[in-house]
Amino acid sequence: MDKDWLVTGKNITFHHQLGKQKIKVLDGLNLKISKGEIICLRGPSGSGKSTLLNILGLIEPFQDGQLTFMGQNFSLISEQQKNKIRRYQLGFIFQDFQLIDVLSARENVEWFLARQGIKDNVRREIALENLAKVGLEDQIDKKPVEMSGGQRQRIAIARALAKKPSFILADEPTASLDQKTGKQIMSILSALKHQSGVSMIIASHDEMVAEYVDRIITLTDGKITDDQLISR
Amino acid sequence: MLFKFALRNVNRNKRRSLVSISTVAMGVLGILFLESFFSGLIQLHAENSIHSRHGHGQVNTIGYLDQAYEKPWEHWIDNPENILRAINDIPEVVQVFPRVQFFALLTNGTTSVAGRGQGIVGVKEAIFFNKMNIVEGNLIKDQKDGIVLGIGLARTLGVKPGDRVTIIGNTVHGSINALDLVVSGIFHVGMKEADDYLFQIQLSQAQNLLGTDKIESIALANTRDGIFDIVKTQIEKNHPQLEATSVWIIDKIWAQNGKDFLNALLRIFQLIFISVILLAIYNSASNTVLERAREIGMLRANGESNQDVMRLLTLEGVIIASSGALIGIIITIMISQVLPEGIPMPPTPGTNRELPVQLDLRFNYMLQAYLLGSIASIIATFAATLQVLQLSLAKALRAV
Repeated sequence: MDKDWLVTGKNITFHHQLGKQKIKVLDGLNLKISKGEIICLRGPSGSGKSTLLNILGLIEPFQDGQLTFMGQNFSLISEQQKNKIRRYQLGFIFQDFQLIDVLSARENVEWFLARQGIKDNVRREIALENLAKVGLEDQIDKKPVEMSGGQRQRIAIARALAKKPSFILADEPTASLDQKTGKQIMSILSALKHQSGVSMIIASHDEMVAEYVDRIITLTDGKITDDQLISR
Repeated sequence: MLFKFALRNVNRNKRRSLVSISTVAMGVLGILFLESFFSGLIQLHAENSIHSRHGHGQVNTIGYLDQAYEKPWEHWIDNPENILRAINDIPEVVQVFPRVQFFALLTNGTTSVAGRGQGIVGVKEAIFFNKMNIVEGNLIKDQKDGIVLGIGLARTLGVKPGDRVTIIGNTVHGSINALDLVVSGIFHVGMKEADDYLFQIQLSQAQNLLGTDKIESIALANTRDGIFDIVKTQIEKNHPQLEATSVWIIDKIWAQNGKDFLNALLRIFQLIFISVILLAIYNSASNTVLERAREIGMLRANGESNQDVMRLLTLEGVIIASSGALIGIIITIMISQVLPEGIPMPPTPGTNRELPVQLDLRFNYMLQAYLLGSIASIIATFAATLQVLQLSLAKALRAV
């Protein structure tokens, strides 16, 4: 039953169209992600990691196959429904943090809570709580430009978490960070997964990321070539 | 929070926002300045026309102004005393000025020139007709044998106040008559046709010259502008043989046509200013949204709809537009305060007198300029925003 899975993808195919030429990026990919699972998506550049992440995040439409999220068929939903899912169910962590420079750490976290219609004082509490979870309780009024890369990525994590999503998609979250900070970030993500039960899929080249995940999926030329559960 | 975010985004690139705000401010300044300047010009002319020549309007027998008569005095107002009293009793009328107009030859003994005379009650007219712009001497006031001449006429005759002038004209019965008069003053209303031909003498003298007790017209001084129709209705109701004509119609060639011409000109300039605002703001907003394409992509990835993004960026446009428009209005007000006497202008076409034009700043002009400037810049921002929303979400997130 699909509903036992958070995400199921069947025969997902994606190609770029360059003139008359089709460049296949994902080639009939099958995938299942269970609730509370933390997955590392690995593979060489051009293997389709980011594309898969974009498809799972409803950022890029795919051409063929079927993708369900909590039993809901993504192919059959409207743009409005997609926005709603992105707003309430999905959290994003980007390699380059993608924070809003003109807002403070707290305001960056609060922004999407405000967009969820959460009232001022409640969203402030949620923002503070999530910034505390990533160890930034004493940096809440600083702007991203006044903070280090690691701190910025922690704001991004707090922002993603504050939405209470079912699924977090992280694209190379440690790539812009040094090894030590990268480990801190992964520790935080791993701990948060255990606290909140959120599922995560992390696209990364970083070998270190594998130490913190439950499962490693390797993509090669748009196909899953390895799917390995990690037992600890 | 949306407003706070929009405000900070405006502040993000201070120089660009400042340029955008200045563009809107200049556009609004241009629109408002021109509109209030043209309105001031129209007002100035109207004031000049009302207080130097026609009053708020004029009463004649029906059809008199529309037709040329061989013997116009046959169509003048007979036994005017009762009519003058009745019209003066209308609450909206402050004063009535009986007049006759005639053509005569003026001579100083050596030079003769044709002129158009007006017989007026000098004492009554001296207060209301205060824009005659006497450049030498005085109005005739109560000087029984006084005559005031237009500056062009005085120059042709080579006379100055105190000099004697003889006017020769026809009586209504066809005989020749003459009056020996003393120049009381010389006026310069600024309209060549008036300055070169017009002269004024006492009404009683004019009637004497013409050999009639009738009056040709009654000029009206109302309690204020804009109530002529009320006065007209009263007069025409009580005196069916008479009709009242507004100064705007009597002076149509200058007043109404001038107004129409300036309004047409204003529309052209408005279009130019709005186009400048549109292009400048579109250019600036395009750069802004394209620079922020990734951020906008991130917002959309997190569930912001196109409408949400549009709302945010349009709000930023509204802040810039409103600030600019407000500054434009404030600058225009400051200009009018700095130049309370008006802006010195050379004579307008057909006139020969320099008059300072005061800006006629009205709330509706300010509101109109504010709305035009604001709406133009909001439309430009809106159009610029569409560019980034046309990008696919994935492309927006990858944008450099």
